[in-house]
Amino acid sequence: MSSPIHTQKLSKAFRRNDAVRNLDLDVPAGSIYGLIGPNGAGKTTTIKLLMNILRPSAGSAAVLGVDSRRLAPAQLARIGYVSENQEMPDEMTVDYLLRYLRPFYPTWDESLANEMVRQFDLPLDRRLRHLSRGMRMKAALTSSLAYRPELIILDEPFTGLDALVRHELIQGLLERADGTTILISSHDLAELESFASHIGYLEDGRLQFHEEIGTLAERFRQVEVILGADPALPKDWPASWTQPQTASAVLRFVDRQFDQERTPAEIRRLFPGARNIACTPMPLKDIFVALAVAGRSGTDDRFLSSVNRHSAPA
Amino acid sequence: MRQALHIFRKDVRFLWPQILVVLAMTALFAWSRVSVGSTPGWVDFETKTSDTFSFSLFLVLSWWLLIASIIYKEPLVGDRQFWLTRPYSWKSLLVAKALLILAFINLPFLVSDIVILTAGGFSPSRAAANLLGRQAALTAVFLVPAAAVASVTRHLADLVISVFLATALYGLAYPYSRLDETWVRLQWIPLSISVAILVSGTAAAFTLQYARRRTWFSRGMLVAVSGLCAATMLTAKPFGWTVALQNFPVAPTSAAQVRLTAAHPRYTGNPGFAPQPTPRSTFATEDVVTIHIDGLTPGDQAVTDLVKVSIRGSHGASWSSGWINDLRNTAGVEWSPASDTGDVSVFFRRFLVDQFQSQPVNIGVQVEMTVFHPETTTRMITDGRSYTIPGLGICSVRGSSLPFGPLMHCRSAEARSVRVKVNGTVVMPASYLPNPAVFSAVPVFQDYARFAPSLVLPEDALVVVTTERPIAHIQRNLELNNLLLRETPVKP
Repeated sequence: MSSPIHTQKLSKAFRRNDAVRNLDLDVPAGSIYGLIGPNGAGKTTTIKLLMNILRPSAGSAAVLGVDSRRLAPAQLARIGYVSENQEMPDEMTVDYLLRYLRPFYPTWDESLANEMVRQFDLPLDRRLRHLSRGMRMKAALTSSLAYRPELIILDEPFTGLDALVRHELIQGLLERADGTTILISSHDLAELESFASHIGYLEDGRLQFHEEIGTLAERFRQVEVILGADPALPKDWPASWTQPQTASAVLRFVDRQFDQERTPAEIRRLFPGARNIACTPMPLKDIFVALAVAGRSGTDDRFLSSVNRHSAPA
Repeated sequence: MRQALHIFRKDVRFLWPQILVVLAMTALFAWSRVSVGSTPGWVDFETKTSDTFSFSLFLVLSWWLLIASIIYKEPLVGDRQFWLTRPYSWKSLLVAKALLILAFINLPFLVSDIVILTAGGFSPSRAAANLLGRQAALTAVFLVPAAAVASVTRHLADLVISVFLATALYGLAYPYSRLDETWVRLQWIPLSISVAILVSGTAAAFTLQYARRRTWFSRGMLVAVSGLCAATMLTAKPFGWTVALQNFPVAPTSAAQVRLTAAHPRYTGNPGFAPQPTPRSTFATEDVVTIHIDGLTPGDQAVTDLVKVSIRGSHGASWSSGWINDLRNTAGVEWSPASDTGDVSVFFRRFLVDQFQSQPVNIGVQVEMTVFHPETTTRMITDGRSYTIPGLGICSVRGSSLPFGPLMHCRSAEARSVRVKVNGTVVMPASYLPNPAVFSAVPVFQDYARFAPSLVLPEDALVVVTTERPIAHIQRNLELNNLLLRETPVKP
């Protein structure tokens, strides 16, 4: 089964600013692919390239097997798209929005739409411009799921929403997207962690790594070592150990290539006086921060290249 | 088509306030035109014409507003629009927008025209060609360009700025263009070329913008089209290749015999031929050559459109005026047509006389002419009765509340333009209206209800109205050899 989204050296430049550079992205069918990265990393631009809202400067993208530049109504009828900064037809009521969109989609499921309206408690007679941000996103999601799309693309759908609305949206999405491929860009990493199956980390327009979320969580550990004396960092400090911090005989760092046997052994080799070693699993949010800090300080390209070597193929 | 109608219905639902404004403005416009058409007096006519102008302006503004609203419902500029990620077919969207413009601008305007025509005493079915001409002109000159500009802008402010810039460009180009004469001669050529460029260029940019949404490219196209239109107005004067486009149905028997002869030339080689100085005015210090046009079929008339004069001196010096019309002075030559006598007077400026007066010169004169053939003759009495003049419309001469006598008013619903000659007009004091007075009726671009050619007529007089059609456009050359330019003496 071919990937619903596949890009090859996809690039987009705005004048002299490269927003996306040589992006090779492969979103497996049926996966929930979280595209993460700091602000300005190129997530939204990538999604707009995939949706043919923008045209690539170089490279290509295939969406549902079709070159993104040739996405026609037939393909768009199979894609659900929701974006936090999308302009909605504000003068429409929720009811009219759904009735207006229905004829555009041969697969429109009226009962599903009604069910979502009830679940989200959407006020049908209210104009979109008079809805809260959360309600607007619910209306947008309803209008993008009611035709049971094969591919759902969500661009920062949870930004600025309270926890309850986020939860409702995710529930609504997951309950009706069984088997559907979802590409979602988000800053809400805690939420993403709960349902994403794959993660791609984008920074400075480049995909720094991508892998299944399970292996990612396995690889990252917050390590705390209690030493007998104030530690001095050895010269052969491993590249995959980042953000080292020392304070009165305690050494902390993030190991981005954690191995249950190799990591403690390496610590003991470098710090023979180590009394206690604690390796704690990290939430996705902390992993993201660790990656972003490392990326911004430019400390270790070596690390990223080693990560890419170890990344599971998507 | 189903999707187009679906979008159409949605837009009607949300644009009804703008649509209502257009319908109201169209109704007011029609009412004002009908009202002007039934106004007997000159002062009322002038006042109501001014009102009509205001209503026309409001109507055009309401059209702008509606076109912008129609296009901006699904904006093409930007990357956040809701509709971009929905299965819209660009063709359906384009058709929906075109249908909206057709339904709420073209159609009401057509109805308004029919109402005005009917109120003016015309049969709309007989004036179908004119009605279609008006619709075509409205679409080509206004609707398509306006929609194209709206398609490359995002907000009304951008649209206003774009229109202001285009108008400024037109305003800058217009004084340097020569589109200021009547259409029955040559001016239709550059104007038609400009309109053709405008409508085809803007339609292409509009379609491309819908098909590809390449806004900067489409904007570039529109700028290029504007520049090309301005350049056409400036350069495609009725000279050279544009003259060659003139395509009147030629009447060989009338045109073939036309020839030019020089009247009163002073040849140095023929001392017996005495020069007759013909000063143009008391200030003239120019030489003059009078050229006579003859050989026309009786009743036909050749109207001079353009003249080109070249001088070759015996010492190798030469000078050419290029093609010039009678409204334009060049640095060296000016000419004035005397169409009724068939004479064209060519005046040489003083510096040319000074430059060439010491030597015999050969003067070449080329003249572009339109030959007119009388079509209908109608005799009218200035008693206020209405006369139907075939090819022109319904005319009457009525008393005026102003002190200078009755005025002739015409209502026309013709599609073709026509040259009208009115014999019996009075030369007003301090005016230079000739008798017969000549004006051009171009009904497609004039008011159906009434147009007043500003003719002041004597009380209880017989007025003869002749309509003339162009039947040929010809060029004739004349060579005058061994002429000696001299300064014409100034009459006291």
